[in-house]
Amino acid sequence: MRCKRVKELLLTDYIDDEVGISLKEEFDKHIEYCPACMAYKMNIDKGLSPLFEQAKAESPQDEMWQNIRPRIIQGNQKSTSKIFALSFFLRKGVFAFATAAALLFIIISFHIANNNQLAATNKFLSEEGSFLHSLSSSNGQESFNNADFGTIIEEYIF
Amino acid sequence: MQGISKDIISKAAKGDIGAFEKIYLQMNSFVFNVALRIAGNKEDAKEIAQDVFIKLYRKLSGFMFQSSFKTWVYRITANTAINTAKKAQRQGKNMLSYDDDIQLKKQIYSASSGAEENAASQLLGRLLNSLDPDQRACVSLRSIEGLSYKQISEVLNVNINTVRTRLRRAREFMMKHFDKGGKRYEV
Repeated sequence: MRCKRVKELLLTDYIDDEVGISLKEEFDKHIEYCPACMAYKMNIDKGLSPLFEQAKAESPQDEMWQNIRPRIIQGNQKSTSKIFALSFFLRKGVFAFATAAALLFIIISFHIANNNQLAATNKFLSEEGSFLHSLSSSNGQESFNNADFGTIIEEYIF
Repeated sequence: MQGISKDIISKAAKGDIGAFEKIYLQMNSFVFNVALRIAGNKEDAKEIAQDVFIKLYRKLSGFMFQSSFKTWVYRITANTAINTAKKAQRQGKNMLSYDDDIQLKKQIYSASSGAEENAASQLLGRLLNSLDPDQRACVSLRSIEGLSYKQISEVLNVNINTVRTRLRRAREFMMKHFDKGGKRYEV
């Protein structure tokens, strides 16, 4: 094992107890015969490590909860009003949708009715057209004979 | 932390402030301390801790019990603190003054045991503040909170080798900085 690797392990896995048994044996063997690595290890053991061991946990201030609680309650109220606003808009949306649907229905109905009227007009015009056409395309006699006068007297006279 | 049952978490998730207060009482100390180590000062740590608890309250309903509750809280705390620390770093706050550091070391060497402890604590704070916030989070979670590499990788959502690299670089830097001007531990 090289010194560079030993120093890497010293700064990571070795001091954090994450090193495996076989690697630890290899490491210990190197340290035993390498004064430079041993000195480096001593520096860590006596310099850096105690700093962390001495690190005291600080107590948070008691007032912290007094600051958090109102913010939570305020958040709850905001979310409630958001839900209310959302439901209002949702209701408003349903109303708008119903109005739009009704309008659409009226427009479509009007359009269909219009179409029916147009079709009836077209049919009437077409019939009238074909009648007029039949009158103009035949001679007067035929036309006269074909004409229906209704009563026996009228047929006799004309 | 062991006292937080699933029932309390579920109640708090449904908006029960009393249940949430129980969670707060169990966790405020470690949330504050992780925030303090990463942010580097009590003012920011207090703000971070408050933000963390408000985030926790809002996100509790989304907690699926798939991971440990503590890991989840660590994650929210570490991420909030790292973001705050990065913002402070961009603004040039909390930078380590080398002269101040040497002065602090002199205090450690000359002070009595109680004062030494305080000075050591201050030095640690200064050394941590000189690190990149990501490295600071790794060092705090490992050396102060005692999390394993795997737990740290889960909390910070990074590869386990990234955790190793950050720890190595951070400690290398701290060792160099600690050695400069220090004579006490030289062999």
